[in-house]
Amino acid sequence: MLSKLKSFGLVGIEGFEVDVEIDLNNGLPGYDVVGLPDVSVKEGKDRIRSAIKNSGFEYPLYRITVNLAPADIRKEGPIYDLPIAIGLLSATSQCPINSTNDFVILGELSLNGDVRKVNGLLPMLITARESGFKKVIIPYDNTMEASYIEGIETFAVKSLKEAIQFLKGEIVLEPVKISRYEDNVKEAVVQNDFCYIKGQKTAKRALEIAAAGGHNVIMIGPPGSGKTMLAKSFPSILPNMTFEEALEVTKIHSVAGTLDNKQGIVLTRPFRSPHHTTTVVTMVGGGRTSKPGEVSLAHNGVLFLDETPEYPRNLIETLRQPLEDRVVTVSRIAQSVEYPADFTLLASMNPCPCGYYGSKLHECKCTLVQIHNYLNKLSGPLMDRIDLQIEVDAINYKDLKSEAKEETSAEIKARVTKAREIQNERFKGLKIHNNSAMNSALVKKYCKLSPECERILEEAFAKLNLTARAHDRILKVARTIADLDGSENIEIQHLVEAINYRSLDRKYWL
Amino acid sequence: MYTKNEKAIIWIDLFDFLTLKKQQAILDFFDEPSCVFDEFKNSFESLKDIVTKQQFDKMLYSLDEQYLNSHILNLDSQKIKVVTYLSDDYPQKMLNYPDRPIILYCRGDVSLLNSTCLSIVGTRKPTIYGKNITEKLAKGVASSGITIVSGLADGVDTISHSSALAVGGKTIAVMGSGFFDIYPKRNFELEKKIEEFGLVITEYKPEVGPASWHYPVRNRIIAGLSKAVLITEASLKSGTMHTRDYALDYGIDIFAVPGEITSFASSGTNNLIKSCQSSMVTDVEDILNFYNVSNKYKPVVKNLQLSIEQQAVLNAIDGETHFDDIQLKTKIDTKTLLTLLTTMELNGIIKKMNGNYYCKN
Repeated sequence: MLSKLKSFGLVGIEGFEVDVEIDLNNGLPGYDVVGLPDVSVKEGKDRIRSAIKNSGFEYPLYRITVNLAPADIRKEGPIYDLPIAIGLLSATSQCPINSTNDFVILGELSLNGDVRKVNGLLPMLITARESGFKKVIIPYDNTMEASYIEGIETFAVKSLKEAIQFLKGEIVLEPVKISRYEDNVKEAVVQNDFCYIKGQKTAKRALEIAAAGGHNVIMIGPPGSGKTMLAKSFPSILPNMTFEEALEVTKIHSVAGTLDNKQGIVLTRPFRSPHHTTTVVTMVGGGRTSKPGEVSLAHNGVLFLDETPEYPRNLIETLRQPLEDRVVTVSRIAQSVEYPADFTLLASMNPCPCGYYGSKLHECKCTLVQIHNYLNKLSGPLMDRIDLQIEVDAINYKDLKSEAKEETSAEIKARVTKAREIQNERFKGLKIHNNSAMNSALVKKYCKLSPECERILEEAFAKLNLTARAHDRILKVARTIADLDGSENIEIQHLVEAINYRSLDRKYWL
Repeated sequence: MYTKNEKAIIWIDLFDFLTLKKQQAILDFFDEPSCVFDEFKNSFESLKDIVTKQQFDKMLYSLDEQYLNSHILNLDSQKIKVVTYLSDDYPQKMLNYPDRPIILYCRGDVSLLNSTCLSIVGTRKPTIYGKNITEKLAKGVASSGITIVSGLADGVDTISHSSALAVGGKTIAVMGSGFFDIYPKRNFELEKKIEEFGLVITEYKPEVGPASWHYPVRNRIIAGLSKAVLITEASLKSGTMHTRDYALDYGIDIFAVPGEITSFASSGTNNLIKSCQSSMVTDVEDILNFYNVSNKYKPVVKNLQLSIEQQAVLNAIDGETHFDDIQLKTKIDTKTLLTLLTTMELNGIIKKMNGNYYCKN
């Protein structure tokens, strides 16, 4: 009495095919799972038993062996409850033995026989489609997530009983209707809008450039100057994700279990702001079950570090590799997993521990050594990866109350989207999508300066005490500003504006 | 080489337990310093109010010309020159002050000690205003041939020294520590540069480290060396006020730069002016007139034809003006204004300060 079903598992954010084999032997009744199951798979034993009983079926009183093949990859999560239960029923002929042949089955069971949602459905469905499967039985709660996958028929079931009835042909289920991403993304609502931020013109302009070129930004300013508010509004001016980008993000969030079931897909670019007590593992990912970390959850979106110097130095330094490679590789004894981590870093900081260094209104109580140490917490290599350094200063009451109309995020977003299109065209065939990802060779190719511009840049270096590392940063930012302007070449005004965004390099902080 | 008198003074400065007053008392006891070599061993009875027997023995033990010669050789190898109050190089003005140091350890051009000096002192954490003013005044004064004296500390001191060096002027740094332990460490390179183009002095032996009580004391040398003291920015509680106290004691003129009356950083200088303890300085000429020298400082200003927009921006800048206020007055859109301001900054017409503030250069 052997039955065989197909299911899927997860390594990192990629799915892999799992054969669920169930054999019933004579002997003392018992239940064994082999094939590197983790605890949540093993515990399925009791859920499956109760679910079968409470759905009105009979639990087979045999010596049960369940094998999850391939046997050398660890199986995690309660995904296999439903396939094992159906397998048990088909092995005892309570369900037709051949009915499950075409299906991939995924789902967790509850004691009363209901099917519960599983994490990481989307990547598993995508791999199933790629491996040529046509039909999948999924939990009803995962309907929305499955609705974005075309080319594979998904059937959402609410309970074990419904699944068996469907397999027997007693009831007919419609495949999950396909949702169109393009329609939904337009209706996606972003919480914060730039029009609610009064003043802060220079900061807004810098963030517009950052959004257009994917540049990392650091904001420096006294407490209460609106750094956090600016950061929170930042996603509202980022261009919409393409369907492929959205799928990538959804995959990660699906695996991490942070996906909103009502939406089924991540429609807006993620905004992650981990607290400064976050550990290295939650930041880059990993842990016992190799979960994606904050940098991956911020993939295609924004990672916001508020009060950056408060983060432990080793935590900030771990960001260096993902900022460079745009992926993180998490190695564990059992496996090594790669998570995408292509995010825009938004960092904010005070000019000194008390926050009032250089302020006219408050006296700064910090010693010079303290200020020096505070500013030094951001290491050179990290600052190397931050293109825009801007100052945000306290706004006065008059400005807060002013009735002047501020630009809405939608208006800025339109300009940003246009600039992104130019960049997509430019980097066609290359692996990068925006100006900030250019390496030195590409900078040389795409950021040519006229002799007049060269002269200005040289002068700026001498006059403003810029450091050498500022050179490529300025060119990249100038390229983005030119793109925002729709200009083919970097003109003087673009270059000059780019020079303006190197506040920290200018050493007047200390 | 050093005379016998000078060697005696070098010897008396060897001992940590001798304060300046005790050193002076011992020297006063003998007819002239060189007498110690012959008479010191017999004079414990007369000196016992000043030193203990133990200390006396220690001193006597080191009173050996050979030992002293090796000590001096050691200093020479470190390129440290010793100027005692008996040397010709010793600042003659300071001889009149009762608490003058008996010895100065120097590196650099010792002839500067008797040049015409102006001390520039102020807060270690100057505001942008303080930094700009200090730089401007220091450059003006230094390029007119007056030596700038300051304390090699952070802030105003550093700016004064480096501004003087920048225009090829002379400068003296008075340290609060010995030569082997330069403080703050950040100014190590500046110190080396001053040694090369100016003079670094200290009353402390090379191996003495910095200590908080050294600083108020070394301020008397800063005040004593110069004909006048300029305080560019200081709060009421600032250590700069020690320099003021010494200057008042010595009868040295004080100049102070006024600041905004609301500015905490300028409260000390404003108060000096208010209480008529100092003359007010608003221009480098105010100081140069006092010294009777003419202004030779000609900052390189490119003669630029300003565009209408640039002129409008320039008109909108009044003191320290915030970006938003400039925009409010000129009604130029953000990105154009940013470009304009940076261009003007590169041309040296205006200056950007922290917090998006701009001022005329």
